[in-house]
Amino acid sequence: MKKEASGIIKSYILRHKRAWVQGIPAVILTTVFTMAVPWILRHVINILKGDGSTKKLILYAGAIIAATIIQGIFRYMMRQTMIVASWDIEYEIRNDLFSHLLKLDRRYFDSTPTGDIMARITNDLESVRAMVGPGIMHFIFTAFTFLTAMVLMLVINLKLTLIALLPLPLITGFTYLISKEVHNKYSKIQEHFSKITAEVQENLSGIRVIKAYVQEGNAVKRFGRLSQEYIRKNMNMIRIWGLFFPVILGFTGIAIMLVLWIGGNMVINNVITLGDLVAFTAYLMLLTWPMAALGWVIGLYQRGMASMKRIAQIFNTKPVIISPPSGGIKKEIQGKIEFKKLRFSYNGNYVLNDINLTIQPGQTVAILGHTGCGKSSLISLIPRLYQVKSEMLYIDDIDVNDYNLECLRSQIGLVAQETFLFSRSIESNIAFGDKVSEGTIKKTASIAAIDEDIGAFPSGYNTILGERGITLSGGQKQRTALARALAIKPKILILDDAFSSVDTSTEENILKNLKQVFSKCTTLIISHRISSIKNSDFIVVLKNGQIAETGTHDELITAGGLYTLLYKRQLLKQELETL
Amino acid sequence: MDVSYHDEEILGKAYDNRLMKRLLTYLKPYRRLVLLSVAILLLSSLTQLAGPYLTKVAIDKYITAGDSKGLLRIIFLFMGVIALGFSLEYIRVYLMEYIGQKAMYDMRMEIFSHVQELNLTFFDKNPVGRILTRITFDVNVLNEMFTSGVVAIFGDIFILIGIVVVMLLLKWQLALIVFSVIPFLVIATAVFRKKVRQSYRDVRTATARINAYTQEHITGISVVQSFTVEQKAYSGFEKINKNLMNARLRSVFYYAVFFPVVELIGAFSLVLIIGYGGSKVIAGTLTLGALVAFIQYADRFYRPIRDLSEKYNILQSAMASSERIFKLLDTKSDIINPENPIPLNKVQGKIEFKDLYFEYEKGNPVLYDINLKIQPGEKIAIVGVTGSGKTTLINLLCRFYEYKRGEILIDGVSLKKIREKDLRKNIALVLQDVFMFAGDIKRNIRLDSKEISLERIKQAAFEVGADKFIDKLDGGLDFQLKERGLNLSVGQRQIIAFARALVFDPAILILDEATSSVDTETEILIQKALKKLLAGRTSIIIAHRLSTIKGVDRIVVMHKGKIREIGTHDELLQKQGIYSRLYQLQYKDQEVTIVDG
Repeated sequence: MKKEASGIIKSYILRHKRAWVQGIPAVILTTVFTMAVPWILRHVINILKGDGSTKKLILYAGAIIAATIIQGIFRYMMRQTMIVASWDIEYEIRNDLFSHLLKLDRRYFDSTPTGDIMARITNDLESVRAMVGPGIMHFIFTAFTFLTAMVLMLVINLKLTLIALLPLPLITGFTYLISKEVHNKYSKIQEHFSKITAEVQENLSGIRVIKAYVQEGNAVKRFGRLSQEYIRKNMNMIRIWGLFFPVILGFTGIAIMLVLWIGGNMVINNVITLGDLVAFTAYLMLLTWPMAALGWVIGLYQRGMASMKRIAQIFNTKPVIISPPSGGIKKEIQGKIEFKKLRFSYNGNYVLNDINLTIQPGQTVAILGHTGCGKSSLISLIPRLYQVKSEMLYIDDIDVNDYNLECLRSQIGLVAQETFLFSRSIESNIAFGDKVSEGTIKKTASIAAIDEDIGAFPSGYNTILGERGITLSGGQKQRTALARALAIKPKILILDDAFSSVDTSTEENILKNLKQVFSKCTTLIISHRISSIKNSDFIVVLKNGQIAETGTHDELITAGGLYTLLYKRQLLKQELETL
Repeated sequence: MDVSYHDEEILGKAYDNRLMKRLLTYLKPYRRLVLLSVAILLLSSLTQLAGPYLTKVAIDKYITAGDSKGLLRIIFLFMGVIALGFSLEYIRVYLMEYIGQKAMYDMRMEIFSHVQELNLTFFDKNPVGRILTRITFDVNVLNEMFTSGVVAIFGDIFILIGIVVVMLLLKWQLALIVFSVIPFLVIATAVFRKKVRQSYRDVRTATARINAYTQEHITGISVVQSFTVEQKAYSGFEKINKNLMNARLRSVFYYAVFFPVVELIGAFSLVLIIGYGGSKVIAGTLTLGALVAFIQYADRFYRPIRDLSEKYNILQSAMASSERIFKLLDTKSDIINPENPIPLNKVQGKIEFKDLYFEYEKGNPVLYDINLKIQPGEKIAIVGVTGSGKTTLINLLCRFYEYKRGEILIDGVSLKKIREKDLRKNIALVLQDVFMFAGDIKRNIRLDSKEISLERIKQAAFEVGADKFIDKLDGGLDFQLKERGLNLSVGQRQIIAFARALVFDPAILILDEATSSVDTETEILIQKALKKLLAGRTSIIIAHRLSTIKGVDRIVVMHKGKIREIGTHDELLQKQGIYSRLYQLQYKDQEVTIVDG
């Protein structure tokens, strides 16, 4: 079911009822007490012009302090409720977004650039927050400031009020128009900025060609043209945006001028008092900024809703790979894997066709074939990284789609072709899976032959990896990833070209260790090295998405097919190594 | 795009004199405009100060006196001041933005040009995303400071000084009494700034952390999902997110307290004006209009202080950005161009490697004892397994990296004595993974060398046989390529790269042949094009095609960083050494030319 952006944001806002129930009265009271000060001022001026009682003067001074203190308390409350609520909402949406992202399928991430997701979870979320927090707060604040001021001004004089308030809606209208125009121009600037970014990115990626053909000078010229255009677009916006503050100052000035002129004459003609006039000007000054803010608030709302729509798109993306509605089967896996007439495609073109294969619990099976033959696709179906149709893939004679997803995946150890480690300690990288004890970490590290490397680091297992820590070599990364997979004590272990950067003798050692400790674990190995797959129970050779040959090493050598060819190449490579 | 969010955690001081000095040098070319805008800023501040004063005059001289005509005169004056203020303010904003944009343009061009001159060691160490952030994002942060931050602080200071002066002129005793609250204001602001600085830092750090965490988990989502640790990943996220929110809430708290406190201090100054000033009005030593003007000035006094906190944040980000930019600008290229370069025009194409040794990292040599003489016009194929040093050898010949031991000579002149660019003008490099630029086919053949005429492009395209498929494309040479040229086939991109090399017509050709297989028709086309390209040029080819190795004068076999065998195809086969094995491994299958997936 698709949810509307407005519906989603509403539900978050309504969760914080208390904040609004307390916040809105606080806003109203803040405006009322802010407006009280000029009112007191009006009386002060009138006293000064009239009898000049010092006693009353002190009283009024006290009243100003009191009003300011009360106003301050409510102003504090207003921020502590509404602004706090907006950060709470941001926190909640961010949590929900992240949690939702964790559930989405591989397919979604294959087709969505990380940068795009990041933009939504950062920039868009910020615009939504600005709409919910400052947006709502300023809107209510402005509305009540306007209302209170108008009532008080009306009490003083109707005609003067009308004249004074005349320019104010113009300010709002004007800010709105300006912010709309600015927003348009700003989008154009952003577009151009993306162009610059793309140009620089292309330049940096193609730097070898640029240098080889001595195009540096021309690249600078191209970049210069784009940058010039960027200036032009920016100045275009400034031409409009530059009007903003001067116009607001101008309008306020005009309003004050009108009041001074017409009000001044009214004072001369004894229609109003001098205190009234002073209070009037004070109200006008109090009104200017909120009126300008209103235009700004409208902009906040528009941007906020646009961003909310982009966030809603993520929420409305639903994962396909989920447990069955009943929750699915939860059981300890023995490790039998069966492919039955399996076909699979990413987008229409079948990359796997008519795969029939049965692997018994505890067997070690090697999968071999050229790049792009479907090896990685085949094994990624076992932990359901991609969706496979029903009745094609069985584990322990149960359809893979009938398992509880978490139960299934938590018993499969997958070491992928591309090693991805997290920028945290080696220890927590190995203990990445659930419920991994310290003893297990050390034990699996030694099976994966990474323990000695770790011991050589000054901080041992606490060594931090990644940008802020050390960079492991390719082989070390792969062995750490293997330890990580072994630490969950998998029932099925899948090694997708997991030793490509590990030297042959280390690889053989690791495999020997594995055989001893994980003898009951069904193991699937994708490798290019014959030496490491020679000893498996049987070997499957894939070609163009189909099984070309199966059998033990000796059987396949005798058969003299594709395997033999690959084997001979491997021997040649080994020979070359020794030369 | 792999923007590194870790970098953004680096936080400098809010104000760093050394950085600021260096930043200000970017304003030097616009000295006059800066002076002009400061002058206008001064005038504009004056007009803002005039309002309350005119109000005072209106009240004292005309309203209290009942002079309606005089009032009108003041109104006209008022109108004039408003109009003047409006124009000045607009000009000021425009001018300052203009200066800011210009300065940023200069800076952006400087960074970009600087990066163009750095050698490949730099690009190997720094991911594209990081360099990109310097040129785009960081410069924009500075732009914001130039236009809104720093200059606006000047404006605020002018207004504050102006208010102080006018108040002192109006009634110095009252002014001094009003100023007695300033110390409180200073203390409040100082405390607030200190608190907010800490929470702002916390917010920055937490934001950087949460972005890094999110990006890492999206990139590594497969690992998270296959280990079923979504729950664990989520609780980790929630913890950082909570930290971020708490830091936010702390700063909300400080703001929530600060604003009312400033208002309260303002109220005290108002009370002082009313109390002291009021008694003076009663005593007749102060006019009512002056009192009103005082009240209005006092109100203006507080406005800049309220804005200060926001500007502070801008300043802090700007300092962090400029620190990163200057660090990049201070990075020097490894390759030092000779002070007195030997001019190199059209070379003959004789190449000589003498005892060449090279390592990317200390103690990890990838090339040793390379000795090889190549005669002008000779065609050499280099073969070897991955990691044998073939690519490094051609990288050194193109001078992408600096070699320290041994020598490379072109026409007998050491590369170190030639300007980098002079050398490259004589070499055409065609890489394995052909890089295509956005734009049309024309651009991808001549690149941005506009002096290469359309005729020459057409001629080159014809010679390599590219015209056959180009003519079929929508728009021919004007056909627009998608990003990385993905709307052309691999083979077509290859042939365009050949045309590119041909159009520049250098004496030396370096070709890293593509490994990917193409259909037979394209294969024939490529072979023909290659023949054309090699004719009359000294050529070094990292060969992957059997037809290529059979067509060259000599084959150089590299193995484990050394040249192990040299000879023709037949000679080498007879040796039964490395080449014969390589041949069986990589080239023999091509004898049957069956392309398998």
